[in-house]
Amino acid sequence: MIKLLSTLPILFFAHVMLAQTVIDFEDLTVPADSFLNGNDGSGGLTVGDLFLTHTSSAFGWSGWSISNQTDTLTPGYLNQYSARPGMGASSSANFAVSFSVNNILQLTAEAAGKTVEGLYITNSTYAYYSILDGDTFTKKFGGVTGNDPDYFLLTIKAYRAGELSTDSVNFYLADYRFEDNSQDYIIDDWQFIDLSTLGAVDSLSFALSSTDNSPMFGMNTPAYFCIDDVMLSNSVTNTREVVVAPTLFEVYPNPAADFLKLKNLTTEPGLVSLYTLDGRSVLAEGIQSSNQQIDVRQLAKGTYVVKLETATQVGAQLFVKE
Amino acid sequence: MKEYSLFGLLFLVFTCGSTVIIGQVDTVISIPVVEIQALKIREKVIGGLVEEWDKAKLAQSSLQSVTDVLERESGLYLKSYGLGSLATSSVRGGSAGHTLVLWNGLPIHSPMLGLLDLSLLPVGAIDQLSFQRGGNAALWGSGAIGGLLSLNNTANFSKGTSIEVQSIYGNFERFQQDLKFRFGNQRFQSNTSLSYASAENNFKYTLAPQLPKREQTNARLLQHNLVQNLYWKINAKNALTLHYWYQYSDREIPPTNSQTRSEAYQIDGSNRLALDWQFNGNKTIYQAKAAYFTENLDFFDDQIGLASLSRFNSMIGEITAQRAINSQHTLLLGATQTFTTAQADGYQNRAEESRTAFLASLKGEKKRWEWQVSLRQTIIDKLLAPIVPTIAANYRLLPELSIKGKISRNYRLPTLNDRFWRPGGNQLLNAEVGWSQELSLVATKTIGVFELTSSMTAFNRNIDDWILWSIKEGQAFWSANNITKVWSRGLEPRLKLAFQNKQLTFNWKLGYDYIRSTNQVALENPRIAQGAQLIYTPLHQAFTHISFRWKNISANYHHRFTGKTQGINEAIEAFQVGHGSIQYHLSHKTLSSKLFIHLNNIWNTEYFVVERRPMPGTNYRIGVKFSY
Repeated sequence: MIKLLSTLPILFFAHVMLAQTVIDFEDLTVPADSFLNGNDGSGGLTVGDLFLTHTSSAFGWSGWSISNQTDTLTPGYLNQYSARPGMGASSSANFAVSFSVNNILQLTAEAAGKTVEGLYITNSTYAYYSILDGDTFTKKFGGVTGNDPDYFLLTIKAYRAGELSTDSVNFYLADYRFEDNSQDYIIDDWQFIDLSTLGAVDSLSFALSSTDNSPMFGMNTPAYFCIDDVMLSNSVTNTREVVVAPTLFEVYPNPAADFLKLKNLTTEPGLVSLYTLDGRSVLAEGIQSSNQQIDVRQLAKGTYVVKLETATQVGAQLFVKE
Repeated sequence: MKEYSLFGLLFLVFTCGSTVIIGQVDTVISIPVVEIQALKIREKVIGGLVEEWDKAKLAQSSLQSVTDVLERESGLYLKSYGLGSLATSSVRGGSAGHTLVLWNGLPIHSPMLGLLDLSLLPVGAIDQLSFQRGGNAALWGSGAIGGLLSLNNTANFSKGTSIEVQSIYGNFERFQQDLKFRFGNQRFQSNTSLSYASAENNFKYTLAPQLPKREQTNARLLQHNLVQNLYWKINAKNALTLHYWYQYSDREIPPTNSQTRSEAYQIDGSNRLALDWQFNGNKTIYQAKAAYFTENLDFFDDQIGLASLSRFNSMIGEITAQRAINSQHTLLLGATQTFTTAQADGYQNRAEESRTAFLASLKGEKKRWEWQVSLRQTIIDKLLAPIVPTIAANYRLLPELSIKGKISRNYRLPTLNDRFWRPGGNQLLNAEVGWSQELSLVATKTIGVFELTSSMTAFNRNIDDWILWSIKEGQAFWSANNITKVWSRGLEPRLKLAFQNKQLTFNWKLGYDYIRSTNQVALENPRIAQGAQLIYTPLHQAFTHISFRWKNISANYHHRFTGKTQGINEAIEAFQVGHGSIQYHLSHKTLSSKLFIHLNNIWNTEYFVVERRPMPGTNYRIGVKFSY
């Protein structure tokens, strides 16, 4: 259910911190082409250190469901549990579907009160086609001319001690505000959102907004999105500034067979650590100078995480041992 | 003596609420035969104005749809979703379910939706049409709050056979074929009507000035109608009538102007069978009706994989008795039993509903006065619906000036969807109910060959327990609730000028409606402000209709202004539309023919009645009709 650092997040977003867990929903047993939710009266699903709220009754549902449905072609609400990429993030099977204009993701146990490093997000198939083509109740984004500056926006905020943060992370699930309409887009793949800037959180708040609204009935755009691979921090909240890795250090050659050279781009001494993808520490040594050669001849072939920690900054990258 | 017995029995039924039993009536075979007539105490309108179209008047403009007749010649506001698509009405600021539609005196709206798609009513299926604004629940029952639309089949008891054949072709691949066949004598008549209509409705409309026009897609229409009426004057006192109406409609649902495509379509099918027995006694007319209606409405959207099927069956039994107490007073007593079953994907189980209604009405006239007091009590599934009284009067101030007024309590019972749909249906719903008041001043002046009629009607209506699907405080989901109150009031001035001599007939009608219909309770979900005008309810609308006939040529012109309305998402701008038609009549011995052409939307107005649902620009229909 929980694994340390999945591969793709690191490859694409090497700034993530170490000592993390990734909730990828894969250990949940979801029947083929189906979904799970907490409609047993428990109010939701506990997945690792996350609690995904769910309200379900004869009137319908809202909150979260865990799905493995892969229909990327069928529009409409009958296909409300499919993610537009047709799979989970990292080509996985399971992902979580959110259905609510305002939804909450609760952090529990070890993760509570700590930083959420980020998560992967994409559109549901239902919302994607509703935005692309319109339906009986919604407009095609761009309107009849294609020039309407429409958007479908997800705003993520943090709850800390019951207070909702003022700072937020905005993510456009669809953005048609460009002068050049060819740049208009609807998210159709899994995208990583860095949430570390929100700092310590007890819960994450997800608010959807759209330019397609009815004065009477509110947002017309289907209030759905999908998430996967939620990266939680296992350590006490790090107060150090998190810096994007490429500006922190460089490693080469990559892949490397014998020696890995590390160029420290900071002016600070620090600690270099290597981890396997399952979180096992295999090497740690101090770094003083701007360049350091690390002997990796004893390491088994595979992918490793290189982490550099200084007094004020932390960064990580992947390297492959040949 | 028999008459008194039956009348007394009916009176007992009404007062005691026990089961209705139809007594046996002696019959006498003699000539002349009975006059089949509607019960005038129920049909003759007191306290308000009514517009009527007989067969000749309906034929005059060659309009094919009841909605076209009402919209163009009466100024009715129709909420049309597009050419051939769903059309409902808002009369005096009421909802679509506040216009009761009667077919030969029986309600034919869907008990599931509480309304009737008015676009499905062809003129060819009826012989007589009447439209009355205002509340009529006491006489006609649930739903007659804003208006009453009556579609009737009537017989012409002349000996012989007649045939009518009509073909129409128009833009957007519209094709229509009608056949009417009548045979009979002074005692028996058989009227058969068959119609077939199809259209692609692929008109082009403007998306934006700088863009090429877009052709409407997925708008195909196919409609069949079969009407069979049998009229039998059995003897001097008894008459039996059978009405049967089969309808089939297969309509594609076009995309909105901000939707790329649609693959939705809807099939409506209905079978309506009504048997009407009438006994004319010396002082009492008894009428008994038995009807069986079954309808299916199946909606499909292949694009999203949706198939939503629904069906209902209604059985109606009604008995009424109208007795002339003396030369000035007439009493009507009646009882109606309706049993409905319905099935839909949204119902957990088959929905069942029983409605029993008792009606009494007393009409009097003296010198310049005509008055009527009516009362109805309905029992719905053993629960009492609000009792609805009406008091109405006409008073002739001068030979050419009369005043008409009515105070009535009216109601609309919750629909089956409101009650049984899952999720959100609410079996604890109350009926929408409220009081209406209206006053009309009618002046008629004849000057030579000219006849001028003018009227001014003012009305006021408050409806409590208005049902909306809403999210109530403390609820998380949409459900049907008695959540708001609506106050409707307005003015309806009308002017009519008629001229007739041997060669020329000229009619001009002018009307304006000012209707303010406001929500009186601030709501959150849906968000509606207190005092806000209801959506799709124009504050201002006006119309004019000019028709003339000179020798063998007749022509009509209709012009309509519809003020700005508010839709669900956006405001719909005011628009003006004009329609014209010319008919050329030819007769030779017993064969007569008519060639006609309609030019719709003459001024090529680009307009919407419902947001995002474009209406067609200028288009024509040409037709020919032969009668033998």
